Amino acid sequence: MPADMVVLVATAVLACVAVVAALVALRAARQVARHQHADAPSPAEPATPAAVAVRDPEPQQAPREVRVVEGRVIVPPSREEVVSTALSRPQVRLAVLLHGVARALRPESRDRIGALVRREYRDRRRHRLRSGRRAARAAHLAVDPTPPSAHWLGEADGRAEDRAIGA
Amino acid sequence: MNGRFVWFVAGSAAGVYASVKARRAAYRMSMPGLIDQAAALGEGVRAFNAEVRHGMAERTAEIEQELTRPTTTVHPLSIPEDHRP
Repeated sequence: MPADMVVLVATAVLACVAVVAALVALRAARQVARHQHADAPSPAEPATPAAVAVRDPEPQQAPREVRVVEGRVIVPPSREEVVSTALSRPQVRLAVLLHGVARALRPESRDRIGALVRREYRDRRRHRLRSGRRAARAAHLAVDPTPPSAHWLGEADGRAEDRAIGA
Repeated sequence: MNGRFVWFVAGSAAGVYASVKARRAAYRMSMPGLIDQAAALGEGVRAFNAEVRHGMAERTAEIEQELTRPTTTVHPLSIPEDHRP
């Protein structure tokens, strides 16, 4: 059996499974819709296309009224849901991001960040140079324990002579 | 005599200044200097990000406040005629 034939048969089986699953899902959805239609309290309710968010002047939230319209459950959104939905819109998110970038690019922020970078670089350079000098001093002391001032004052030679005499 | 002394001091100061600047430029071009510059730049990027996030949080709070502000219903006839749109 050639390989392309195997792939063709597998694809056909997969398509059949998908069609059967879609039919089962459609039937279940219709059953649920019929069930909700039968349980609806008032069949003469107006068909509203979407839930409308209404601002409530009272601080405490009234209990949300759940309605079933044409077999669909409509729950009026709470204030938090309205706010979160409004804030998650792409335009709003982009506007919020642009506001943040504009704030970061203000002259005072630019100056502050520039000064921060310069100060950080200067501190790191000083720290590194200081560490290098300390390491060089330690390495020198490990080789020659006499302090540099002894060389400058001419005491190092005398100490070496004393050490030679003592040995 | 006085003029020579002034020129001596000016030349010494210029030499010290130039040597310090040259040493710093050489350090800036060296590998430790480049590493330090990269680290400082990273610090600046972090500060920039923090500033952006602060601005975003500020704007989000403003929008939330605007959306959760209680509204009052005003009948059109209750508005004075000269203030009606």
